[in-house]
Amino acid sequence: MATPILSVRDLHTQFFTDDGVVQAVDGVSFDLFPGETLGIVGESGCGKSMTALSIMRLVPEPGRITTGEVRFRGEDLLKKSPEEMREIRGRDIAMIFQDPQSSLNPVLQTGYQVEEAMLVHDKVPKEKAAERTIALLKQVRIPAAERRVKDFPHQLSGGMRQRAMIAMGLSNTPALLIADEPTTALDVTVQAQILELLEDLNREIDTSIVMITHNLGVVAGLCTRVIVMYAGRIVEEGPVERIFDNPQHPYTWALLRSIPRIDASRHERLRSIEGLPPDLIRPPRGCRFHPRCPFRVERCFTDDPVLEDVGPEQRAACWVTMKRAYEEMGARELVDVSPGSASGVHSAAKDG
Amino acid sequence: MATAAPAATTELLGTAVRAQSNLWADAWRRLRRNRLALAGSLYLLLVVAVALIAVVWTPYRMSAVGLVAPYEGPSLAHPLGGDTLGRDVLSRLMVGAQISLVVGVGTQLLVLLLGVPIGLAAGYFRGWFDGAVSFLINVFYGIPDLLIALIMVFLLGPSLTNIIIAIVATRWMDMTRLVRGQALSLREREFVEAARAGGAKPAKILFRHILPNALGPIIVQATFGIPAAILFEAFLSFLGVGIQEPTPSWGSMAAQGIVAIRISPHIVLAPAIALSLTLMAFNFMGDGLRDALDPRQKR
Amino acid sequence: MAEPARRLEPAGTAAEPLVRVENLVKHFGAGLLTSVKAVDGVSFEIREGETLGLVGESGCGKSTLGRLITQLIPATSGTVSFGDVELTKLRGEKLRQQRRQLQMIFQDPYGSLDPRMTVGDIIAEPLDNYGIVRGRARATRIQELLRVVGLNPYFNNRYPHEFSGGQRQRIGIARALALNPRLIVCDEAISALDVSIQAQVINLLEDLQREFELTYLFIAHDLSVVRHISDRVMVMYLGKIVEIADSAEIYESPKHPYTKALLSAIPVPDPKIQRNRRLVELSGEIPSPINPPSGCRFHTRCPIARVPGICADTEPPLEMKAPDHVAACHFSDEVALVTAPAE
Repeated sequence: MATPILSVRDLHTQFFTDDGVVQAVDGVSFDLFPGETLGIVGESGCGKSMTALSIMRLVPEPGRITTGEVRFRGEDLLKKSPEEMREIRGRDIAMIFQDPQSSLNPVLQTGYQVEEAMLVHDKVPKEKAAERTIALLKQVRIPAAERRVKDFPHQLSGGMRQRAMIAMGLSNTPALLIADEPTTALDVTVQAQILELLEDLNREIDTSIVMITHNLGVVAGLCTRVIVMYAGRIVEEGPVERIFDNPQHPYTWALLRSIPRIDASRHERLRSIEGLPPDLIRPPRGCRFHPRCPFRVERCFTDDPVLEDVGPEQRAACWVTMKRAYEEMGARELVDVSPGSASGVHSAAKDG
Repeated sequence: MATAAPAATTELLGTAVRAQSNLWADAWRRLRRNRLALAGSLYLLLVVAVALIAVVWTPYRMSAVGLVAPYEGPSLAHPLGGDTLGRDVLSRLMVGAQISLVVGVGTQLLVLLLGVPIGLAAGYFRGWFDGAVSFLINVFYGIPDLLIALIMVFLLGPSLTNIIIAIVATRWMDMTRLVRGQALSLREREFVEAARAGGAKPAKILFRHILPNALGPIIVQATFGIPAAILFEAFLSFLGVGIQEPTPSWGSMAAQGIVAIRISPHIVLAPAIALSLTLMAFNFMGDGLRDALDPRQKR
Repeated sequence: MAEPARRLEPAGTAAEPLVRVENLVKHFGAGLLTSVKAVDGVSFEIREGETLGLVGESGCGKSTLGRLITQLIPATSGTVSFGDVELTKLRGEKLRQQRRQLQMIFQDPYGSLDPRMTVGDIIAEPLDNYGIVRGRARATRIQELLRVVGLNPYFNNRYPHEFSGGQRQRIGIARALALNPRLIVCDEAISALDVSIQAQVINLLEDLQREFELTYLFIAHDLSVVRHISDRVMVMYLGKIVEIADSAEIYESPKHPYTKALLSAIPVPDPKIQRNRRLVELSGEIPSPINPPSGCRFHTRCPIARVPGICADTEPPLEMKAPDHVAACHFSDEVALVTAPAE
């Protein structure tokens, strides 16, 4: 794990709308090492998908990458010409999306589309393409691949379509695969299969994976390292075990406590994060999470925290961090006071 | 200071996420930014003003023959010259604007009156009524417009009202089909289901939920329908089966002038240009409205 | 934190059921001679004051079942009784009057609110429909409902598009509460929301249940949410109920291989646990509900099915396998032994 295959530095992507400038990605920096599976988690609008699209230089209108660097194998992708970028996309960096239905052309045979993805980049001679397509479909565990190549996308189930998309993504053995919520539209049993597939592929062909998801369970199973994003920024990053066992940013901490777990032994009231994510046209001053943070101190209202080391390979952008919250602020005893409670006094009365 | 007080009341007393604005205000804002639509609307205002003025005043009596020498070109007294019978073209053009607007708007009003309730009922209730309506729409689409209009005019006689009725007979299908389609898709929307779950009766669902949400496309369709009706009337009048002399229609004026297009082009050009500009203005406005009312355009 | 009192009497006591569903069938026409068997003969009860969770994958018929119970769509056959009233027999005004008791919360916080109406009018619409309150009392009731769901009571003149997804879902909840219903069907009510917002809405639903003595039918594809909120869980597969049991019991010892597979597929947000979990892999794909498999509908994908044999020939009945635990499987004793193939 010496040189990163991808390093993003101070990336800013903004959307110029009628209502103002939306700071969708606001100074994001991270490294991805060869063979690694990096998870980027966060809620909708946190900038995780826009980070991915910025790497691919596919930011939709009226968005623009305003500053930053995206170094892929040492070269800044933001300085490439559109033609060079087209070459890189699909050949060196592949991306799979949430909705395989709309990513596949409905009037072309699935096999043909996978083949085409290969031939565009001249990596495989034409005679070999058909053969390799079948091999790829087999590799993504599509049964009866020989027959399936002739199927049109609508003849495949959602899970099969996503497998076909993955096959397409892998057709040129890219060095980097970006998966943007690849399982969100799928049923849980299918999701589990696709996740297993990605895990196996990562092991078999040594492609680095960036996994973008809102599902913390998906990250827990698949990723080695995690980035947590909130309101356009990275609030915490580190090895997956550290982030889940010992989160240092209150947002990560609260997020992990707000989700019901299938293995939870009893009904506990969920600890919700109160309030809403901020408006990214007029983000709050200081730490962007401070309006919702249970552990804020005075400084959080005015000063913007930066990512600092909080443990082995773990960094968080917080003036307080959970270590201090546990020691000084009684985070362990913190009860949920939900403004959503029916009368507003429920939990206080019950717990207090 | 180290407060461990949970950030509690943000949502309870917080503000709504987006600034207060409503859909129509948004649409109006977008429409104002569309220059072509704005220019079209201004031109149409002018046409309406001219048509209104023509009700009480025209430079000359529009039917007075021999005011000028027949075929005479524009002059100071007669800015658009005289026609084949020596009538003042400007005066006739002004009255023609009345006819065009009455035909265009009148047709669309009748089309709305017919198409909206039929379309709503067919799309929402489905069943045999929908089957019958759909069948009728297809039958009317199968017969050429001109044939329908000619038959109607011959049966009813060529008065202004009858011409409007004849054009409605060729135009009601588009609106009905559009409204039916809207009702068909809106009835599956969750807010309509929610209204039913909340005990709303069908009439309320149709007029409180479905119609207001279909209004955008309906307005756009009606706006595009007006120039189509105006053109059709002009066409009928050009063929001589439309508005009858001495009442001028832009179509019949052009038909008269066409024989003299070489020696006195102004007779055909004046109504032709007025007609083209009017059609264009309506179409620009329709485009503008469509963009303004389409929420996907929202940025 | 105090354990929220698990409401009312323990499951299993012979409380009179609030809703009784018997042999309910809904077929949608698909083409000339074929039909989609969305719900194909289900029977169960919803007990007063409980939360009954309903899970299954897309196309299993769970949403259709929710709409059948609220009578938003008519049943093909079978009965739905609410208290001692047989809803499936009612039509028109009589049905409309009964509907006050059963409300629904919808999945899409964007699609379920009429964009052309103000929040106040949306919430008050059910009240207006039954002519319950007017004038000042109406305004007061709107504000009360907004406050109950945790929204600013002075938002009544705003339009839905001014709110976030979570706030809109609260508006939808306020509307469902307006008529003081006894049963609320929550159809994927939180699936469209962000993780941090989901918890807020779940907590709100739990508080409201306690405060207003509501009964929920909670439909969702997310089994972890269902397990959290439900007293009992019902699992559907291809239009049939395969298992109903107490939510802890169904997790500890599922009696149907499909339930077991479903449980194994849900990712746990804990790397140490998630890495060591084994997936019960199902072969093949969900068959078409137009032409469901013979015998047990799950036999084409089941890891323990006897094919050819009883599973392909005979449909297993929904039988009592343990106290207050029913499942439809010929070999439910073997389900405990089902594990993923060793790697």
